[in-house]
Amino acid sequence: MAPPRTALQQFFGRSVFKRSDTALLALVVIITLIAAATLGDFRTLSNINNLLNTTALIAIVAIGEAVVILARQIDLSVGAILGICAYVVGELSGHFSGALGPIMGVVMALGFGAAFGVGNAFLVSVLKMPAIIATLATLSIYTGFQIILNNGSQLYLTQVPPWLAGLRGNAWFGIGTFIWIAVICLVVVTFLLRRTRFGRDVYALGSNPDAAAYLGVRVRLRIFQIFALCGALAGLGGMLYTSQFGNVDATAGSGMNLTVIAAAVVGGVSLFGGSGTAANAVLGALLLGEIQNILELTRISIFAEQTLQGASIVIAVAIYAVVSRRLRRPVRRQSIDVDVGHDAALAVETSGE
Amino acid sequence: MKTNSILRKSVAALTLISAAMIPVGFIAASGTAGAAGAVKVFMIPKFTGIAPFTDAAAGCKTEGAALGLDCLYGGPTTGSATDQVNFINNAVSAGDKGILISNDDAATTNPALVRAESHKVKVVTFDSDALKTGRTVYVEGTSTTSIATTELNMLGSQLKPAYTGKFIILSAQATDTNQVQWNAQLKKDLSMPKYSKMKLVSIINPPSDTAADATTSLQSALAANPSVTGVISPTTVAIAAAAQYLTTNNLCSKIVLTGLGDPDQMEPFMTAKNNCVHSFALWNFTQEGVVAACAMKFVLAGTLTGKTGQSFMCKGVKEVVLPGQTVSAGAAEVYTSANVKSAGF
Amino acid sequence: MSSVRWLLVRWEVGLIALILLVLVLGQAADHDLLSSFNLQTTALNSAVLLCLAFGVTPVIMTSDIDLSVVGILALSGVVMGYLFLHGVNTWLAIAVGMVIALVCGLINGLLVVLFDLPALAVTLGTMGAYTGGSFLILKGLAITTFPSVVVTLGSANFLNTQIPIVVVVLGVIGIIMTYLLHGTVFGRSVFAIGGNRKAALFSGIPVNRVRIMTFVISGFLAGFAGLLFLGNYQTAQAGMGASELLPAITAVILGGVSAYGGTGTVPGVVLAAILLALLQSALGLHGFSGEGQTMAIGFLLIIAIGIPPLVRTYQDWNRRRRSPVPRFASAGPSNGEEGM
Repeated sequence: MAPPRTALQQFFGRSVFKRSDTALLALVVIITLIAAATLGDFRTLSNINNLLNTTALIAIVAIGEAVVILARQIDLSVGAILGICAYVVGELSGHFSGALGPIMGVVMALGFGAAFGVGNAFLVSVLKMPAIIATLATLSIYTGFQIILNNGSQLYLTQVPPWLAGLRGNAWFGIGTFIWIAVICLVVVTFLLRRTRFGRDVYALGSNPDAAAYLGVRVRLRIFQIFALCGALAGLGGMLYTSQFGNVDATAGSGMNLTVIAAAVVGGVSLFGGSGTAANAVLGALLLGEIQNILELTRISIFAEQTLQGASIVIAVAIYAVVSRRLRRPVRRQSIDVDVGHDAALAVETSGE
Repeated sequence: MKTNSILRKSVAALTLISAAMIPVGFIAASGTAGAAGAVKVFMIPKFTGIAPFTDAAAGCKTEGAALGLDCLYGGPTTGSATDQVNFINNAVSAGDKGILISNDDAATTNPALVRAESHKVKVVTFDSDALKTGRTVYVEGTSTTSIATTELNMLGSQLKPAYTGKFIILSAQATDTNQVQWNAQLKKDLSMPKYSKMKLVSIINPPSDTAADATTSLQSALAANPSVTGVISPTTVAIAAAAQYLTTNNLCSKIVLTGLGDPDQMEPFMTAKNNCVHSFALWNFTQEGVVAACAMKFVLAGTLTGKTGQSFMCKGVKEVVLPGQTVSAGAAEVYTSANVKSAGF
Repeated sequence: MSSVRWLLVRWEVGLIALILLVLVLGQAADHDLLSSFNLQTTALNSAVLLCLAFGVTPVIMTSDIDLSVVGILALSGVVMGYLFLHGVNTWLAIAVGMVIALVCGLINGLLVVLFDLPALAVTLGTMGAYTGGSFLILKGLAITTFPSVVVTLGSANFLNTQIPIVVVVLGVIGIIMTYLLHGTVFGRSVFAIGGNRKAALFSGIPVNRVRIMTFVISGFLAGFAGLLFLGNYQTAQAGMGASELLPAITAVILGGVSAYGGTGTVPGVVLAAILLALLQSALGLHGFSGEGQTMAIGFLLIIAIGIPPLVRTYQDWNRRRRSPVPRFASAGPSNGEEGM
C-alpha cells in the first residue's frame, strides 16, 4: 500500500522532484552560494533582481519548449513567435482600457502565439515534416513576417499601454511580476503534464510514438496542442519582452532560440523525448542565467555567451545520457511503460485518492 | 478515413496552389516599374527596421521624384556587410544607375562598390562612409566634430561636479564606419583642457545592434566599472535600451545618459515622472536622405565630383563639398524635455 | 515502368523543369537575370551554399543531421583570417583552418556515434560552441585583407573564360561526391545505414566508422566553404555565414534527399542549389527584400518536403483501401532511431 501522499504530491501526481532534478537544484544552490560569497556585485539586490527577472522570461519560453521536446519534437521558431507577439501585444492592447487591458493583453499574447504554433504543428503533423526542418522553415517565414510587421520602424515605449510598460518594475508582495508569471506557468504546465491525459500522451509520444498511436493516443490532436502550447508561452514571453525593453523592433527575440533550448536541455529534458519536467526547464534557465551573470561580473568576455550555451547543451546531453546508461535505468524516467498494465496501474493509483 | 483523405487532398491542392503562386507573383509584381523615364537609384541602409533609415529613404523618395530619380530602398535585416554586398551586386545587375549606401563595414563593401563603379554605376555614401575608392561623395548627417563636441558637452554639463568623472561609450558594432569616426574624434577632443577631468574608461561594442545585446553589454560594463558616472551612446538602438535599463534598475540618478537618440524613443524618458535622460542629440534623417538624393543627381550629371569647394543647390540651400569629399546635410539638434515632443521628422 | 516514364517522375527532372521556369520568368520580368555579371555574382554567392550542401548530404543520407556546419565555417574562416592577418604563410594558414574544420567534424562524429547521443542535440550544441569560438577569437572586429591566392580562388574567373574558378572547383567536388556516394562501397553503406540502421549493422557494415566519416566530410567541406567565403567577400567576421544554414539544408532536401535518410542523389542537390541561387537572384533583382527572399526559401522548403509524403500517403491509402490492415499512424520516423 502506497504511503499517504502529501498535498503537494496529490496535486502533482507523483513526487515533484526526481533524483537528478534534486542534484541539479543542489548544483544551482551551490553555485549561488559560492558566487554570493565571493562576488560582491552578485549579491546586490539589483543584480539578483535583474537575474531573476531576465531568467523568468527565458524560463517561461523554455517551459513551452520543454513540452515540445518531451514529445520528441523541437521548435526552433520560438524566438520569432516571441518577437511577433511582443509587437502585436504592445500595439493592440493599448486599445483596451482599464482592467480589460491586461486581460486582453494576455489573451492576445497566448492566442497569437498559439496560432503560430499551430502553423508549426500543421507542417509536422499533416505534411509529416521532421520538426527540425519544419521549424527551421517557419523560423525564416515568421522572422520575415516580423520584419514586415515592423515595417521599417518599431514599436515605441510611448505606444505601449502603461500597465504593460510598468509590468517589469512592479512587484506583488515583494516579488517581481515576471517571477510570479513564471511560477504560474510552471504550476499550470506541471499540472498539465502530470495530471491530465494530455500530459500522459505527451510522455507517451516522446517515449515511443508508434506504440503511443497503437494505444489510442490521438497523435494529430496532441501534436497540435503541444506546438500551440509552446507558441502560446512564447507569445507570453513576447508580452514580457515588451515590458522589459520598452521598444520592440524587428530584431526582438532573435537570439533566443538557442538559449531556450539550452535551458531546457541543461535542466534535464532529454532530447530523446519522454523524459523531463517543466521544472527542469526553469532550473536550466536559472543555471544558465546564473553562469552568464557570473561571467559578466568576473569580466569574462560577453562574447562567451554563445559558446557557453552551445557547450552546455553538448555537455548536459552527454552527462545525462552517460549517467542514465551507467545506472542501467531506462532513459525514460517519467516512465509511461507502454504495456497493457499501464492503464490499469494508473487507474488504481488515481482511484486511491 | 474520409476526413483524412479530404484533408490530404486539400493540403495537396494548397501546396500546388502556393507553388503556382511563385510565377504568378512574378508576373504580377513585374508591373511595378517606377515613373517613366526616371533614373533608377538604389538606397541601401545599414539595416532595415529602424526609423532613421526609413526616414532617410522617405526623404530620398520625395526629393528624388522631384529630381527625376526613382529612389528604391532595400537592405539586410541585420547589420551584415556581406549581405549589403549582395544588394550592391543586385543593384548593378538590375541596371540601377546609382547606389546610395550606409556602410556596415567600409572594407567589406569596398570591392563590390569598386566593381559597381567599374560598371558605370555611381556611388554616394550617406550616414556611414565607405573607402574613398568606392564612392564619389559622402553625405554625412552632420559633421563628426560637432557630434563629438555636442556629446561631450551634453555629458559634461550634467556631471556633478561639472565636466568631471569617468564615463563609457556604449557604441554599436565595432565595424560601423561612422561609430568608429565619431568615437575617434571624441577621444581626440578629450585632450582639450575643457574636458581634462573627464576620463573615458572604455568603448563598448555589443555583438549586434539589438536592444538585448546592448542591455547585456551595458550591464557587463557597469559591473566591471562601478565608478562610472556617465554613458554616451551614439546609436539610437543602444541609447534607448540603456535608458530602459537605467530606469528599471533605478540608476538614473547615479548615471548620466546621453548620446544620439530617436526622439520618439527618448520621449518617455524625458517626462516629469521619468527624467532619466536630460538631453540627447540627433539630426534630421529625412533631410539627410534629401541631400543624398540631390548629391546623387549631380554626381550622375557629372557636375559633382567630390572636389573640395564644389557646391550644388539642394532645395534652395547651397551645399558645399568639404575636404574628404564630404557634404554635411545639416546641423545636429539637441533635444531636451522642452522640444522632444515637437520633433517629428 | 518504361524508361521514359521513369525519367519523367524522377525528382531531378522536376528540378530542371523548375530551373527553366525560374529562368524564363525571371528573365522576362527583369531582363538581367542572364547577364554574365549577374550569373557570375550569383555563382560566387552560392558557392558557399553548395559546398555546405555537399557536406551535409551524406550526413542526412545516414539519417543524422549536422547543424554545426555554419559554426565550423565561421570558426575555420575566422582562424584562417586571423592567421593571414598575422603574416602566417598562406598555405600553412589554410592547412590549419582545414585541420580545425576536420577536428570539429570529428568531434561531432565521436559525440554522436560513440556516445550515442542524438545528432540534433549534439550539432545544435556544437553549432553554438563553434560559432561562439569565432566570437571569442575575433570579437566584434572584421578582417578584410587577404592573400591574393585566396581572393583569386573566391572571386576570380577561370583562365580567360567568364566562368568563375569556384564553379570549376565545385564541379570537381561534385564529381568526387557523386562518385563517393553512388559508386563506392562507402556510398552504398551510407544509403544502407539511412534506410535501416539495424539491418545495416547486422549485414556487417561498419556503421560507426561510416557515420563518423560522414561527420568528418561535413566538417571538412564546411571548412572549405569558409575559405570560399573569405575569397568571395574578403571579410572574416565572427558568426559569418550563419544565414547559409537554412538555404544549405533546403538545397539538400529540395535535391531529393529524404530527411529520414536512405534516398537521394548528389546531382539532385546540385540542381536544387542552382535553383535556389537563381530564385534568390531573381527575387533580389525584382526588388524582393532580404527577408522576402528568406521567406521564399522557407516556403520552398515546405513545398519540397511536403509533396513526397503526400504522394506516399496517397499511395498508402490507395493500397490500404484495397486490402485493409491495422495501420500505425506514426508521428515521426519509425525505424527505431531518435527523432530528428
